[in-house]
Amino acid sequence: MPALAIELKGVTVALNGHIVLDKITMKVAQGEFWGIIGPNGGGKTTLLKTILGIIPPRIGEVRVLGVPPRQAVKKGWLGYLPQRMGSRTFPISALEVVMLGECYRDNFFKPFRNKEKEEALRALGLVGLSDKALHPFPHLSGGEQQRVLIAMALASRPPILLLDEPNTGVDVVAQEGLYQVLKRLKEELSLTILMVTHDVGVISHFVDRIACLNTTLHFSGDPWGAMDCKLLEELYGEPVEVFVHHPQCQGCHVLKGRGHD
Amino acid sequence: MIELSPFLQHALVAALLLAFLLSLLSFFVVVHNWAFLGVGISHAAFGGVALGFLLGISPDTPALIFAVAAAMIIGLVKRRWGLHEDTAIGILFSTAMGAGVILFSLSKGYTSDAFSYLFGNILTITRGDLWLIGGVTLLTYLFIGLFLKGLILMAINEDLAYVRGIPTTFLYYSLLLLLALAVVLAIKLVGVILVTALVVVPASVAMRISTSYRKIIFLSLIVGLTVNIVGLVVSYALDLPPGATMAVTAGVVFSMSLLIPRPS
Repeated sequence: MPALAIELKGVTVALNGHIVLDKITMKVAQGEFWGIIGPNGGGKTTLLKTILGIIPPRIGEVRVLGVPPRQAVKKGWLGYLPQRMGSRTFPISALEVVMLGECYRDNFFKPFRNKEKEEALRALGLVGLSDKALHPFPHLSGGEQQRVLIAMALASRPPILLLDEPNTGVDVVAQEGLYQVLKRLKEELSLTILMVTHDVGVISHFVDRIACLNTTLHFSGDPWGAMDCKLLEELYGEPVEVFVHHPQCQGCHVLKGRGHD
Repeated sequence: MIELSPFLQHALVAALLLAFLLSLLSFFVVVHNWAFLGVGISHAAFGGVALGFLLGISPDTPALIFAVAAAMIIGLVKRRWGLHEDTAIGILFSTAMGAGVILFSLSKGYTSDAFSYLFGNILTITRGDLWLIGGVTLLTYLFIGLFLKGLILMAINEDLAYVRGIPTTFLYYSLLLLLALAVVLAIKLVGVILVTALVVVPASVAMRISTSYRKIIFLSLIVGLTVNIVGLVVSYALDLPPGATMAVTAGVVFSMSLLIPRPS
């Protein structure tokens, strides 16, 4: 396997005639945990969908472990947590949702077996929801549903995880737990994780690298570098205050902000 | 043993087979919020019926072509241009229905024929129709049986299904095609306007009773069989129009299901 998990070379993507991603070049090494931040409409979700091969680039090239995205998908190399679900009311148990994450091209018309059930229970354990396995998915809280879907993405043990705002609907305490889980998984399974989020302050403690995306890639590198307010201002288009939450920090404090100079 | 007239025998077999067919599809219609899709397909078929009458040929084939074409166009609009299915359906079905009414007015006074397609007429069900319904039912069970996991994942989130390597485009259009075939075949029994009841009610009732898709699919079948058989028997006993009686029976069954407390 090549050293690079994900590689984008001059990728430009247009949706309905608008340039959403402009000449994006990035290299994600295997085993790295990336956080992608940026304003709404900045192309974060589009970037993930381009890496997945759902949206083809107009110009440029995407490689996932050295092969085109669609090929990587067929090999089951990519786990994905979408931002929006088609249906959160589908009548199905949490365990069954996770088991669906284990269906591949070659087995998706076979009934589930015990092995898949065990894997699914293991994945639910990873996100701390073993006790909710048999609960109906629609009856879970938003945060619990989100964790079930992360378990689903993990169930097939893909080498690469793409997460689109995994913290949606998850309370702050659970969020910290969630990031801890991801960090642990990354270390134990040497997973490559690409995570889209708004939560600039929190993720800087957990990720190896941060990419700031607003149509173009403004920055990618060490997470603390992204705390530079000039950069965030450029990115979001207005002065921003970065709130830092840290497990060790008593409460949260403003790291930097132009209004407080 | 009661002697049943051949037309009633045909109607009974058609009602049974269609209960199996529509109840299974009903589950996917309800989870995809496709209730209006059934309306769109059946009304588009009416345009085909009218064209058949105008051309002096059997309306069955043009109805089938219109319904399948409508389903494919609705799917294409949704997938290519990202419009919600309802928008495409609203435009398509009123156009096809309008064209149907114009065509009927041109084909000089067969309003009773129009009526039998709008509200169903069991006298029009032939032995050939039964074979066709049986064939489509078998095909639908095979398709859904084989691809159940993929279809469920697709209903939850299509991108997730794609990531698992599931051929989502193929499954989506196949499901639409089977729904279009099922709706067209049900028109003779219950008519263009009332077919929606049999597509929507079975799974809607089942979903009030259970939170497990396996049980819902099974319960949906029980509801469908009950509605169709009770509807047909009551209509025969009281000399009422069968399609309308089935639709009302479906409505009554659904209303009764509202009294059941939500599953926990």
